[in-house]
Amino acid sequence: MPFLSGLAIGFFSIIGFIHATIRKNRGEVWDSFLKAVRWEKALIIIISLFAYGLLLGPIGFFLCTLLFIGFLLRVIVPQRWLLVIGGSLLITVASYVVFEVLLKAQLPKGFLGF
Amino acid sequence: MDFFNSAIMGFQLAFQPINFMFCFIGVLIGTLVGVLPGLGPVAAMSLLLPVTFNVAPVSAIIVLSGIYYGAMYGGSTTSILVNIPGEAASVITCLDGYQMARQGRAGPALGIAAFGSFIAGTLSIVGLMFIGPFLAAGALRFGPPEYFAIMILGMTVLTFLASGPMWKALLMAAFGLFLSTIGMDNVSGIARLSFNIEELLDGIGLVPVVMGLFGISEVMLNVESSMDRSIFATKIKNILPNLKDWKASWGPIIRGTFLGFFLGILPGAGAVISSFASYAVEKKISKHPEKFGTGVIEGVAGPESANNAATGGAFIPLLSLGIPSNAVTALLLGALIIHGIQPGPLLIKEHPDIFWGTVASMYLGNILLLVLNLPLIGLWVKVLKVPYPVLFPLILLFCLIGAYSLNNSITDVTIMNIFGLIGYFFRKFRYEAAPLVLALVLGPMMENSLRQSLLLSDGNPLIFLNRPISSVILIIAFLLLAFPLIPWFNKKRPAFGE
Repeated sequence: MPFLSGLAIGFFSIIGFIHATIRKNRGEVWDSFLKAVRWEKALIIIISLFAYGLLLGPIGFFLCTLLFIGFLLRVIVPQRWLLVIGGSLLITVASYVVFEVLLKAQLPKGFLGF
Repeated sequence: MDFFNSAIMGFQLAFQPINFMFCFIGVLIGTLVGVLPGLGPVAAMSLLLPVTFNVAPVSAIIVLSGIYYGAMYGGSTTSILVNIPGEAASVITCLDGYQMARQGRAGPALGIAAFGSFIAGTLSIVGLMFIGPFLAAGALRFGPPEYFAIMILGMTVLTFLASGPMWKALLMAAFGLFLSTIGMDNVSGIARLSFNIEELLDGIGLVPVVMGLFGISEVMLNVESSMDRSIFATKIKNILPNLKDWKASWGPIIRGTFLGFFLGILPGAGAVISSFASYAVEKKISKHPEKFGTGVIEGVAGPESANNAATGGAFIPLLSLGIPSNAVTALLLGALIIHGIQPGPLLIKEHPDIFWGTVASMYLGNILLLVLNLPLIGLWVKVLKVPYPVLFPLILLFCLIGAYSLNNSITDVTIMNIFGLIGYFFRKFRYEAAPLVLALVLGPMMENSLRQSLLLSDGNPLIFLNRPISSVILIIAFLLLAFPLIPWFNKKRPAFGE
């Protein structure tokens, strides 16, 4: 099965390549998909998600979430500091209560112990 | 146990306080994620899946299916008021729904969407009640070759109906199959494609993949574009449609219901295609097709009924054959397996509580949705006013917690992030993720059926063609694959999913 599915991926990729070549030969011009797109924000989001995954174990859910939400609120579309601090605290505490206390999700504790 | 006794047992289960509460929570969350653009039923269900581990299986399925059909209700609200579909099945509702709102008729548009959804949802459950057990009884005669053929057909239909070139959808299905082979091989015990990474021995989990492909990538794409959205500033009044509206709408509602229900049964079709198909039918048979897109109520009533009817239809292959027909039912299948219930034709016989309890809860859920949607429209509008820059960190956090709490493992978070990135590029290059998800779920089942079939025939692959049912199904699948080679079909194709 892995071999057959790998073969299928290769086969359809070749079809895709031929398809694209035919279209290009017909005179179709492609724009770069990065053009006219604010992809920097998407990049920041994916980096912060990976950072969250890396830091969740060592520093624990509470601190990690606080930093994550605060960072996103401040950086992607900059909000006022009051909203950044208040919003990240509120979201972190609420999610901690809902998932850890009520739903017993066993979130990582980290060096702070919560 | 006869039909009526089973149905009564189902209602007794659905009315138990705990199940009633789960049904309410399900439809409420469903409506909420339907209202919120950027968070669809798939992401919401995968988020809630770990939470349902500790409850009875029937309650888990009730809450998860509530999210599914609840989202179909909620999706119309954003389409009508903001011109942004809350989820994919409501895209077509934007055309006439938003125009109606601009003309000061947001109330009747929302009202007919809710009533149409209610009528279609209820009728499709009646269909599910009658067809489900009948199909399951027939499927008891199916052997591994027939199952293999049905799964091939399911994937073929989904790739056939996917938007864009068919090779892209097939490529995605092949990639999904490839991913499904990661981990320990059940028969030989050999670790496949796990590269000595211990966490990969159990395979790649469906939930982190789905959350990444549908949740994270959606947010990444949304933050790129302008995040301002204006709600049409109108006072929503007269939610109850008048007699003239009803006269124009009852036909589209009934037609949308039948169309949606039968398209929903087809593996791979589902709510999105049904809503498009219903709009196309209504426009074609209308006496004034030129008015479609300018705010005619038929353009809201038909598609909104069709997408709700499709949800009832989609439960038929899931509950009677154990075969999911789209990403949402694939998640429900995953939930059943996690709860130790083997989906398939024996499900209705061995676990009547699951089938009848879910069906009865869907009646209840539809009534709850009607009650929720009409008076609470004002509340949903307020929810819509939460600015996206504040909302998206919350969506990301829910995805992170959902992925982590699945196995209390950071590996799942990493897998979700990787698939978020992959999903982002899929969207950029217009590759649909649905065939991948379906193939990921069907992969292990397909491989088992294939192996069992070949064992039965001593390795002769002609077994699939020698048995009448499997050969007919495979021929249909082959014809669907061959269709795009016909030039006139190819010319018509792009309009379908666009």
